[in-house]
Amino acid sequence: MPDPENRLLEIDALHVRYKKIHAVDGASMNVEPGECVALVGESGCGKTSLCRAVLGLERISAGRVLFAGSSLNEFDAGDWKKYRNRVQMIFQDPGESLNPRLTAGGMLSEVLKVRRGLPAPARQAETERLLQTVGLDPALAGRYPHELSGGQKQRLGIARALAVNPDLIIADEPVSALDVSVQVQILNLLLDIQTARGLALLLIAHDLAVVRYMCRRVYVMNRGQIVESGMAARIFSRPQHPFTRALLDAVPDVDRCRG
Amino acid sequence: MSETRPPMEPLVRVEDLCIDFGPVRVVDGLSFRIDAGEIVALVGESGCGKSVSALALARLVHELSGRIWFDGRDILQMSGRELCDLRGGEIAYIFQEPGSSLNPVVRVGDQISEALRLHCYRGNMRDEVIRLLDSVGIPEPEQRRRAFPHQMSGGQQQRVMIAMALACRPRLLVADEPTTALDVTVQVQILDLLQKIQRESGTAILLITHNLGLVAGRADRIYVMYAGRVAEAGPVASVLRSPRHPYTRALLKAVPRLNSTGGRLPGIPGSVPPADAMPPGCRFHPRCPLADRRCAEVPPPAETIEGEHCAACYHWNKSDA
Repeated sequence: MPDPENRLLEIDALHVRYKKIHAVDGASMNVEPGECVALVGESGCGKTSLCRAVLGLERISAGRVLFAGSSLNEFDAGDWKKYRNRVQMIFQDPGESLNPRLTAGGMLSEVLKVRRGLPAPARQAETERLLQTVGLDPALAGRYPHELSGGQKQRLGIARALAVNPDLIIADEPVSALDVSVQVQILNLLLDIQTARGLALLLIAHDLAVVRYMCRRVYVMNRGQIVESGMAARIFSRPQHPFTRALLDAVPDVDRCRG
Repeated sequence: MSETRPPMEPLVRVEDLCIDFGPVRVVDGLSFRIDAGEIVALVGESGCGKSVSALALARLVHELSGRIWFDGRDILQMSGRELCDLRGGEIAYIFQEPGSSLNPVVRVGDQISEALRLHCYRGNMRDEVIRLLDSVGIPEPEQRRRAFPHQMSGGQQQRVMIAMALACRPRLLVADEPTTALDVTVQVQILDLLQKIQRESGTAILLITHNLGLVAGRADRIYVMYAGRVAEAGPVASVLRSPRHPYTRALLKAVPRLNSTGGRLPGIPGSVPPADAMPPGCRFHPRCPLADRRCAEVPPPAETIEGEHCAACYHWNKSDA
């Protein structure tokens, strides 16, 4: 059993409320260092609110979020600054999460300056290294987001997240806006980076086949609550909760008529 | 799928369709057909030309050449009046995001009756709207017809779109990525609904999608498009069970499976070429493991493999493993 002391992220009976709406209703989950965990659910189930609370973008109404043992509730401004170097986010639609007025290189350079305080020459070298890490030609550094394809944009989004050397990346539907042939490229890239750097990855997805490919453990969320959790292999072969079963039944099966 | 023999003339016949966006040719020599009452899938990645080809069926695209027949009539010869009857009357469309296709300030029932009125429905409008909403599975249609789009979920909005599309009993329903914006469980419901419509009213459906999984077990025939051309076509079972074009094979291998037992999925190297810089010869050759010199020079013609199953590849007979 993993040591609870060793947990990177621990969410304990988290509640997030917006006026009358109870978006997250007592959800608990945890992520170990270097582990790939999935949070699965349909739109409106509260998974995005949960992530926003973890990132400090949403007020925690009740419960606790602990990162490496310390509670977000007790963070001061300095703690938040350090925290944001350790937790990063990759968004669903790379086109909408990149600044349209910055070039690929400019975007990375900005992060390196603001977050890591690197001087200009070092930023240049580091930008090239980051682009190479995510499989982009450093010659693309001068391009603006609209001059990049969807897959290239998502690679840039990943490079930006990696720029601060985080311990945890939250990826919110990172491939659902991409083409099938590009999806695998991005998933493989995330897997490679995750193993090479010992990163923890919290993957939010609705495509259970993608989750099966990427993650060891899975949390299933419905109506603000975690309704089922455990090893992916177990959940996918013997789902216990009716909602998990419904999700699994809904996965389109290419092999249906392949016999 | 059905026992009845297809009629001599298909419902839709497209021959050598080319569509240009200014100097850029986005669809290059596309030919396909849709028989009455069947479900045909047009599958491909973004930018492959599947959506514009579908729009061309009702002449909703300007710069096009080639021939398109709907029920034996040449749509390129049709007058404005005839086109008005065709659009919405005989060919209806539903799109990816129902929320952005519906008018946000008009009650859904009124939006459906507008479609009925435009196409000269003469019966009791209120009853017909309720019947349509009921037929697409909206509960309490009597009350729900007074709802505004924002008061409905994405799945219900798509049902309203389908009701509107069916208002004039079209012979062809074009569904362009109808479930991409919806949750997986809702996706199944909408696809089931489309299948029920096809079975019960004999409406032919052109299902446009990038998701091969949606097509399996639902469509009768499939056209796999790559970069403005058909790569492979045929009966769904045959194409998915024994794909012959390297692109189809690579796509099928790249789809994550629920029952996967670990192991790395092979991606397709490279990316889709931009429409203004298409490679000569076979457009897939820069990414293809089997490509040789001929592939880079002369576009391969569609080779018949068996029955209606054909692939545009010189090497369809070889294994790429």
